[in-house]
Amino acid sequence: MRRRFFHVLKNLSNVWRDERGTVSIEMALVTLILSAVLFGGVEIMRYGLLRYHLDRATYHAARYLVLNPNATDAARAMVRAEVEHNVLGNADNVQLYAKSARREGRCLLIVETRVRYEIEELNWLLVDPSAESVQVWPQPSGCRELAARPQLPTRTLTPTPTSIPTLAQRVRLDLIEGVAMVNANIRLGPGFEYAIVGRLAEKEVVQVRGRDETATWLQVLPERIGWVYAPLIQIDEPVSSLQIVAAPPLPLRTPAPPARLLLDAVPKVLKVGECAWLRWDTADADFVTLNEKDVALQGEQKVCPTVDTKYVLSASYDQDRFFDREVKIMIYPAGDP
Amino acid sequence: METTKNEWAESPLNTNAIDARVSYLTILKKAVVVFLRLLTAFTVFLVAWSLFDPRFAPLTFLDPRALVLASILLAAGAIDLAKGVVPIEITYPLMLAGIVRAMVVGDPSFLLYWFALAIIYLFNVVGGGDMKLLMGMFGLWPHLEFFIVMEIVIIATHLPIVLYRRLQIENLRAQCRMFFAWVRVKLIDLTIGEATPNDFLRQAIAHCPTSEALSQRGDRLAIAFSLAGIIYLVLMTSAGLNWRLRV
Repeated sequence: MRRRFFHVLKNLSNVWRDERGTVSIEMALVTLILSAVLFGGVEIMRYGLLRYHLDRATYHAARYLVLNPNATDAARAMVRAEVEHNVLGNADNVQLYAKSARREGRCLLIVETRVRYEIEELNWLLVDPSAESVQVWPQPSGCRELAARPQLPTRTLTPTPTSIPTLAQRVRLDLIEGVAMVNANIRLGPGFEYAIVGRLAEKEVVQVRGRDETATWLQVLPERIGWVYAPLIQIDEPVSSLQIVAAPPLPLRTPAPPARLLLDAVPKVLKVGECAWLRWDTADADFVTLNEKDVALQGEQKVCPTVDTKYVLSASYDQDRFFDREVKIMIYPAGDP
Repeated sequence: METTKNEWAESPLNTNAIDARVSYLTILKKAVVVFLRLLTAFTVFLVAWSLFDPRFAPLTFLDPRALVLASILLAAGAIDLAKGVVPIEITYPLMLAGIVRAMVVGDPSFLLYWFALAIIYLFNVVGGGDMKLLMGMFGLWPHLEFFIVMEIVIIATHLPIVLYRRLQIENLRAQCRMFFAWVRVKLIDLTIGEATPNDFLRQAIAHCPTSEALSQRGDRLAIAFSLAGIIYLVLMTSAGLNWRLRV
């Protein structure tokens, strides 16, 4: 071992007198390719490690925030500590956004974290690389405003007007960034009666362009313009601040109906506090949504609405034919006969 | 006829005197050559140093210092093409500038690249001149961007040469088939325990050329390394497109 070490040293010492400008090009290529593979492998592992620990840290932060809704800074510090401890490099750029949202009468805590994934000195090549993680937790303490809630950064695609309008007049004319909370349908217009023209995956980022008059549908730009049910998109701007976009005319549906597309509610008339069963059967459909949420092709679901509610079952056939069935459950006050 | 001692000393027949006169001339010539080499080395060092020392003005578009350094790198590549050596008047000052830069900037990351280059040298992948040129450039720019530019340039210049040669020798497709068959056999060997990873390492080392083979059959391609340095100067620094700072 010692002899080999001295042999290596002796070989190295030759370099001072060695002026040869010769290269074994095949070996040089092999060396370079190996070094590139090694570097790439290390970076991929680093990114995977970052994603894994960010998910873990976000889970812990969300659990902590459910119990301590106002401790956003402490949760951010937890995420930073976990990422820093487990992933090489500092994590000064940890961002944590926490917000409460009401979905179907339940109060949810949405915690989103982002860490900038940096390959030092390569930021000129990789445009804004980051790892993100989202956790949605039920909030038993109810929807309270979180302390020091930072705003989600919005990406302005068009120049901001130089004059600043007053708060009452402020209407966003530019695109703002939104995130799909769940898998969602993209429809041709603002309503269940419009055909489905695409799908949004969970956590997919979209550019929100505007809203309908009732602010229940958002016009988004994933690849082409479409409309998505507003409660399924998380944006950090008030929906009312978006510009109103006129709804397109209702398109004509494909005349050939599916062989079986059934939706029924039993009972259809309820008192407040009572529940009904929705049953559906859609043979041969590609996918089915009930009020824009993915459901099985056949199934039943217990619903307990407190106000008159319309349930819309949408089924897709052969990727280009879409059919809806709807059923309305009416509520009578408990005191009525 | 008897000659005096002085006449004999000046006689052209006196070979000792001729040797003495010639040796003086040789020493003078050698001194001039050494002086010129030192001057060249000092110039190279000064130019390299001026790139990073805060007392010098930052590089500007088409900065003369960058142009001079590009010329020096080009000269190193051209001399290598002509003679097969990379002159130490260029390589040593660049290396020295790298060390000085590390001290001035407080960034010893060049050591990592030098360590990798030393290993490559020990495996006789590159000659000493090429390695010192690379050490000098990595000393000046111990950045990942430079490494990537170097990789791209080397692959772009070396790969066509390798492919051309292989095509000249034999059918490339047959060679590839042979290579993949070899990989399959080795993987089977590894799976059934006929070979260990150490065996592969030993075989890989055995495939490395010897120092003599490198001297006899190595290619004079320092120009590729020089080209990478010039491209880096043009693309990444403020003497050119300044991509590194713009984003």
